[in-house]
Amino acid sequence: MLNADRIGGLLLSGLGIACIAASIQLPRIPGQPVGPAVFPIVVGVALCPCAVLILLSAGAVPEEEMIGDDLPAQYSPAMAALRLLLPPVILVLYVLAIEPLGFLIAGFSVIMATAVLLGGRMIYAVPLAAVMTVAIHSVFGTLLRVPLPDGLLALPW
Amino acid sequence: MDTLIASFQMIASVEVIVVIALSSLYGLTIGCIPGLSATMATALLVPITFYLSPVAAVAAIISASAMAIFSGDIPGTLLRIPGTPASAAYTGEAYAFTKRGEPEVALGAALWFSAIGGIFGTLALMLIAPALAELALQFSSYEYFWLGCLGLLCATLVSSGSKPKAMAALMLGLLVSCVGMENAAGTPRFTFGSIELLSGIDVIAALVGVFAVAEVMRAMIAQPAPVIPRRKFGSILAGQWALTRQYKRQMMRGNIVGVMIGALPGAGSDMAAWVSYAISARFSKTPQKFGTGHPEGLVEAGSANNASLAAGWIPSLLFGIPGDTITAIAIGVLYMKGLNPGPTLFTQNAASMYAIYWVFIIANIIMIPLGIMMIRGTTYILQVPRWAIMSTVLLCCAVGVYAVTNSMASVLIAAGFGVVGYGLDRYGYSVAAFVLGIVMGPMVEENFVTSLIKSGGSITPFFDRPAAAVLAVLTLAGLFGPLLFRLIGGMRRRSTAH
Repeated sequence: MLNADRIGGLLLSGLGIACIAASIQLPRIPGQPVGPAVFPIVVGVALCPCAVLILLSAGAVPEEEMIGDDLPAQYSPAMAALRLLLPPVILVLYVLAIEPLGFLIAGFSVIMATAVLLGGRMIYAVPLAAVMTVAIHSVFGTLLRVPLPDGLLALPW
Repeated sequence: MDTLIASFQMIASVEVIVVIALSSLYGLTIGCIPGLSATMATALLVPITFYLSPVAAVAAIISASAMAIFSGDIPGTLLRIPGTPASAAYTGEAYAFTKRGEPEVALGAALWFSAIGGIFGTLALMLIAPALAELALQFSSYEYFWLGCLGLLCATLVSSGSKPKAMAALMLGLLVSCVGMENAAGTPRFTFGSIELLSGIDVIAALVGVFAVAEVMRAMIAQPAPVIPRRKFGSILAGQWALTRQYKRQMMRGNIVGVMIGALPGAGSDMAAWVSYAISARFSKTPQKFGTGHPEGLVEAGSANNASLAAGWIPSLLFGIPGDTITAIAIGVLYMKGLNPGPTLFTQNAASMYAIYWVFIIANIIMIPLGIMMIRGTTYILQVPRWAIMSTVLLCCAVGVYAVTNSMASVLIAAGFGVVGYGLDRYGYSVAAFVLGIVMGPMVEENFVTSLIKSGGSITPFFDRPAAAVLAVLTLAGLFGPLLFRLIGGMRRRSTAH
């Protein structure tokens, strides 16, 4: 927790200062005592002492009391970090793929990839992905009329 | 009387009844799956509520969250893994019943006292909120500003971890709320030239990221829950009336503590359960029995977490200040549906308010039969592998946030906020404070800037009005009080050491 708190404290103090610097440059409103800058400046100013306190108290919390410390021994830290980032990466790839490929293919791939990464077997993951993608499309696309892109494949309903 | 009849007509529609039934089943299912919290159930429900009538939308959130909080007790009792954080306080106690071969007693108590707690919380909401609305009608932007600050401060004071970290998380949330041009001056702030960011960071996308995407991330590295053995249960409600009579004082205390904690901004049902369980153990005549399968703590904490859920709506409906993370999401839905929180909601939209009360009562009554069904069906639901649930949740996140904004940028925001939410939780920064910052930021800023414009830049009017002065003193005492106490304590220790 010591290093994490030091890095966290430094990042937050940097963010606080950057926020103040960026806010000062915001245009003023003629004839008004306050403008769009005042609130972010207050927040930035409040963030700085918090960051300093985090820096000063770094390491005060013993390792065993750390909140959210749920890393199992089966993954190395690098592997765990990689696995952690996979769901957001899958979402980014989904955004890139949905327009050219369409919702059915992109959605199927999201479920397949996540299922296999979480230990699901192909033989079960493929039918689940197919059924859930069609079900979600039916609820959101057909029933709620969300404009999900068709791309290469479209449902008949 | 007319209002009462109008409110009945609102909830007697087929739409509302179907929505209550479906969202109850949804809440019960999500709540009993370890790793999926009541907040996440609510966040994933929001895109659907977008397409419902205002009362049906609020009914969906109320029913799903109430059911999920109860349902979290089921895997806690059977597996010693709380389904939602609100059940964590008494999981060990409930599991001791299962080890003794009496899971029915613990599950029955969870169900029965959840329903009673929920109804008590609703009665508190019905009595307290209109009375406070009269008072709140006199408030100006100064009072609202201080109320907002007090609410934000409470969220950091009641967080379990480091206070500077909770405060930093809150400030981060407020900074997120500054993005875009939705400020009094209409000036783009922190948009980095992006057109998508001009309208600000969509709150629903951020919440889905923080609560749902982060959960899928957590599943990537955590062990799956063990498979539950199939079992047949005896009568679920047998003996609960006797427990009610035996522990009526504990039940009432749990209800009252639940209401008080629920009404505090930022402190939700999990906090209510922890505090009530601790109070129960502290004042028990047989504290040595706690942890060995003793119903006293279950009665008190089980009532408290559901009572707090309804009470969390008091500050939300009155001031737009969320009582917990679930109502933080609900406030977004209220705005989306034109039921803008505030005291005028009680005067101009009284029928909708009554309808909300009815929904709470109906949800807590149907919790009993649906809960019994759920307890009996749990062994089947918990057979569904985690990979199947989490992969579907991830696609629901993507489609859900897109459904609200019709913009793929929202999916990217959810992905980014998943990383932020996981990181905050992993390193001990309060996620609840962060979320409250995002939700309450616009309200606090609007009242702050309006007040400053009215006062011509002077801060003295912030303390002029009696109500504003009281709220200001409370806020400043909350902010600097703990620091002063620590300083005085340190000086005393030093002088005794000398």
